[in-house]
Amino acid sequence: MLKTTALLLLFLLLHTPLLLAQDAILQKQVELQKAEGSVEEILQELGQHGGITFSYSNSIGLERQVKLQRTKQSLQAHLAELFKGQPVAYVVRGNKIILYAVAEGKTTQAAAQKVTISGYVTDAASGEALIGATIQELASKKGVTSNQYGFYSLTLPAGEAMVAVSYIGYQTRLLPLQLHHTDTTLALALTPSSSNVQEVTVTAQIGQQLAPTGLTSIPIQQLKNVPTILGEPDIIKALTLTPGVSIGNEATTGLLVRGGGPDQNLVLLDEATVYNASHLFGFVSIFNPDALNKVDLYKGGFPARFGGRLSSVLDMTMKEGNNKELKSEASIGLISSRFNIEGPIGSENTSFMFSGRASYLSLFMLLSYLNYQAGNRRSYNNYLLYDVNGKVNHRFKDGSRLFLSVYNGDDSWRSRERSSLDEDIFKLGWGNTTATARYSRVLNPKLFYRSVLTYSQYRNGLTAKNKSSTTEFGGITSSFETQSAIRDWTMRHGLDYFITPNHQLKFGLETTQHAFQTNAMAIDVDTLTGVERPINTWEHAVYIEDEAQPFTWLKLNAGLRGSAFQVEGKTYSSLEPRLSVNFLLPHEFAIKGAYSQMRQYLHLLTTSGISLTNDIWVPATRSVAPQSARQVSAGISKSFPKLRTEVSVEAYHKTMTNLIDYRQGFNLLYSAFNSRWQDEIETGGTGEAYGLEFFLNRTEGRFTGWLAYTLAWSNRRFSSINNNQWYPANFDRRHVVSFSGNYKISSAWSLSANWMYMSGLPATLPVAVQEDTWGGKTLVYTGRNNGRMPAYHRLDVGAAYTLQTKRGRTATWNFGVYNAYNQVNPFYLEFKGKYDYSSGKSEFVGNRLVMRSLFPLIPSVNYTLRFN
Amino acid sequence: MLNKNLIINYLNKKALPKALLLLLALGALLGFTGCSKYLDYELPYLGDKLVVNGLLSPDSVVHLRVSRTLPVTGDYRTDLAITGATVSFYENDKHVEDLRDTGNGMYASPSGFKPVPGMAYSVQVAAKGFVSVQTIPETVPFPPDLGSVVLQEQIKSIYNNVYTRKLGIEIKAREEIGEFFNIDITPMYQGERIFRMIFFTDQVLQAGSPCGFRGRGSYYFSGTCFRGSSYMATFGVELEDYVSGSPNYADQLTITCRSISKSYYEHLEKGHQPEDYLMAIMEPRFVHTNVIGGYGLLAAYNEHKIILNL
Repeated sequence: MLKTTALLLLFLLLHTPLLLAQDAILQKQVELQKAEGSVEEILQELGQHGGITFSYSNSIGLERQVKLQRTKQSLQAHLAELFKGQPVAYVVRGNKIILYAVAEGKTTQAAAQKVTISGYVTDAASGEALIGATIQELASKKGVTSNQYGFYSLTLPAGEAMVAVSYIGYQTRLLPLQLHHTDTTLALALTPSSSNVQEVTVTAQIGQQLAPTGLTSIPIQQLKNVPTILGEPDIIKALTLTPGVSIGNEATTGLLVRGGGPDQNLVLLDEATVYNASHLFGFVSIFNPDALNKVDLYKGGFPARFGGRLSSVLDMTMKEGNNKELKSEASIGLISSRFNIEGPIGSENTSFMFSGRASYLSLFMLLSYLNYQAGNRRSYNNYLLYDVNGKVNHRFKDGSRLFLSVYNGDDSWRSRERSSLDEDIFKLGWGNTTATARYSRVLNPKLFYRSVLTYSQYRNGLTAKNKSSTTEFGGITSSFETQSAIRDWTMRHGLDYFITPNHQLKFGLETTQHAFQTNAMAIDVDTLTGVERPINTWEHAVYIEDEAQPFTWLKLNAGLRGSAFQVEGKTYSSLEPRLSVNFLLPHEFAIKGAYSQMRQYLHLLTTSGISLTNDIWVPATRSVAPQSARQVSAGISKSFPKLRTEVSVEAYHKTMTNLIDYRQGFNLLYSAFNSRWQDEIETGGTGEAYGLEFFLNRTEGRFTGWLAYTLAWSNRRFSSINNNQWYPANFDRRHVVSFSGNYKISSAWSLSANWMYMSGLPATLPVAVQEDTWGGKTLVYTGRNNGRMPAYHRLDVGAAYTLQTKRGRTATWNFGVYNAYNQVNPFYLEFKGKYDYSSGKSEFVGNRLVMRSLFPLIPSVNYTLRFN
Repeated sequence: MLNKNLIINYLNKKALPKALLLLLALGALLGFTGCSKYLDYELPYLGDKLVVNGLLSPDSVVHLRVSRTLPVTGDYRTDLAITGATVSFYENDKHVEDLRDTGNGMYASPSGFKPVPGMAYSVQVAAKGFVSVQTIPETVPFPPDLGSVVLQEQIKSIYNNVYTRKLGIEIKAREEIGEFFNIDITPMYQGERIFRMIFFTDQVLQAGSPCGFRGRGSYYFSGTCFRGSSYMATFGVELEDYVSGSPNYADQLTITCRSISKSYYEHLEKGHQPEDYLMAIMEPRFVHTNVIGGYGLLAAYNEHKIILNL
């Protein structure tokens, strides 16, 4: 007994200051008028003269009489004297100090007894799973985070314990637990930090230091506050404002992460792969933020459970649906309307979520269509987009869960243009479908099983028709059509084994069957060319991931992923080691490092390196090897809890091999794609990317937002391009600066703004003019990406006004201005003729370089109504 | 059920239509109007270089043009011709003669020399103020080996509702690699060319196809796709034209079939540059040159001309 107590006290004396003295409040000098009395009386004295609130229970020995040696000293010293030799610990929360008794252990045997608490962390209001919530025992600082299903498992010594449960945007919950000798299931429900201002308030999470290098995890609500084009909340566009992430020029799709290409991002929606995340040519992403629960972007330090792409993993989880009450909201904007409805089905055990979005651009274009039909207009365009998300979640009596989720979305653009001789008809369409069935079960309090079956399909098509005008010779002339698709079926099984509080093992296996309809069909009236048979391939992977915190100052995640790819009778295989290390230093400092090897068995055939909707996914083949990458990254972070702010600086270096690139002057848009595509691309390229990222992020308070800066280089080398010399990759941007902020003026009004600056993208520019064989003049090009476009910068501003309607519902008006100072930003460069009219006639003089831009200043307004 | 009713009730109220009205009005004011900006800065210039252009054929006396490059944003009215240059002409690396300056940057054989099929020719050009250049030896091909050239049945044009017939031209490729062909078809009426549409009937050849392409109104084929065998190229040829409202039918078909050098083929294939919006999605082509130290092309061809009387 004495031995145990002595050990415990020694532990407390040695560790309590380090573990718990988190705040300068403890250094505050407090002078007491009364230095003798019961513990409770002294605490009242301290509270009164120190301006502090204490929270405690009787278990800390309130009646015990004490006499303090000094009346004036720091609060920390007072507390140390007051509880000297007592098994009492405390934790500081703002201006509040919570005191609690720690497990003393009645016998050595009892102290050795371990108890596992496990369960799900959920939102108290909606029952929605909280992914990545921290569950931490404060005295020992042992903790775990909830997994992708909200499940946690924490094993602690039997006895008393104080457990803190925290999650960004939610009030931290402190649970005094009396742990007996049996494992316990404990559901942890957290309350949003401020229900009535939940649009703004985001609370800092305990253990920000624990976040691995390369992970960007910003709450959905904060991402939704970023003003975007036409007022459409857009998670992807918001992520492009974070360090290490950039975009091509306007009207291109895909994220460009740490010097990687748009094809090197694994985008997962409920674990199903999304191959093209763009609506409206990339102006808006396909992800309806109303339907999302969690978004994590990994840029490096990839956990072994992820694989198949070189540069990033964007892991998104859909909402499960409110299992407490039926809720819905509808929103109308300039180009589209969206709605979301969720609620329980029958009981709390089953819930659903359904959201949809559709554009009404056709409505605006109706006038031009009618004019076109009446012959008063030469051209018209029509555009339609929609997407729907649905999810059903059921909890069985044995605690297992089943999720079914579906996404479907399409874009369709049609244009017709008429001249006196003919009429051109152009159609372009693309869309994604994903479906996920997930089953999870807690096999025992330390073992969590999950099984996932996913389906994903991406398709695109292009049709161009030319029709001669209605003369006596008239008739259909020619048409050209291409179609392409990729379809995946994936099966995953995984186990999460919570060995000890600071040691967790994840392992699993997965198999994907890819079917590439790499098409295409080119039809010239009745002549059909090149219908390709589908290419079927198999991709397999096994992984093991060991997450451990062997010391309070060290956290690591080590893993190994083995993958194999079968195509055309050939099998490629790969072993991909992963390691992520965090050194947790005092004063909220952390030093982080990571190493990753990645393998990608897919390529994206693209015309220009900037992703377009009609790009074609192809597999690695016998002659086109899979891409590989190695990345090393390191960083340092520092949290300022009082300011609710975190600063981080990260550096990375990435090498890539077996890259492909398009042939100079080759144009997939009009070419009849055929089985010889492998001869029409450059292969065997290498890439190198390195850079430095700075991130300052404030997550709570009236003002929230971030400032990011990236200094980066991304280069490529192909034996057949630029004489095997390194050249800047198509998406190489040297400097990227971005700011995003939201300021809540009152409960009704909030303002937001973001500004970004990006160095210009490389461009291939001519270096001279020469005469050709026929006496004409042509431009001389000597090397790829030998110049740069002008820099890109833009300011977007927004304001939100929230009000209560007469019926007591919450309504929000969102006003926004995209490109507020009307900057002409580069879309592409071209040459226009320069003419001399001095002689009275138009005389061609030469070329003038022109920068084409897409978006001028665009105002927007959006109205959202919530039905509760 | 309660919430469902509330939604329905709400939709019946006046507030939402007002909001919609405002949104629709604002939306109607907007348009996706692209804009542009002139970038009046000088592009990099690689300096003045010599440009040599010439087409060698056994049917014509050797002649070529020597000019110089111009900055990209320079004045196209500038006279680029180089006069007074020394142009040395070589056959199989042996000096034949120096070409004579005939003015305006043109240089021709003073002896009336005509290239010989199977021989390789090159030039060296030196001009004051420029780095000297030389061309990679270019072999003059033998004339194409044609099989049958047959005007076949009447077909429906894919372009116009006019009298159209199918034309088959059989090209025989030799075993050796590096044969390239060019076919040009011209319908004639009373000695005058009539401009009608000609199209592939069996195969669509686009830029990037390894078997050929269509450019500058002609058709180009790579013998690598049918080496050692023959290839029947089939075309639809519109033979009817309207002049002053009355139909005229072509009375003659002129078919020019050339064997062309690889340089010539590559130069033509990469000669077309993207323009306008294609600049956004397509990298420019690097025009093929066989002039070392400068630009331009010394190419060779050998042709058969066939006239079909209809």
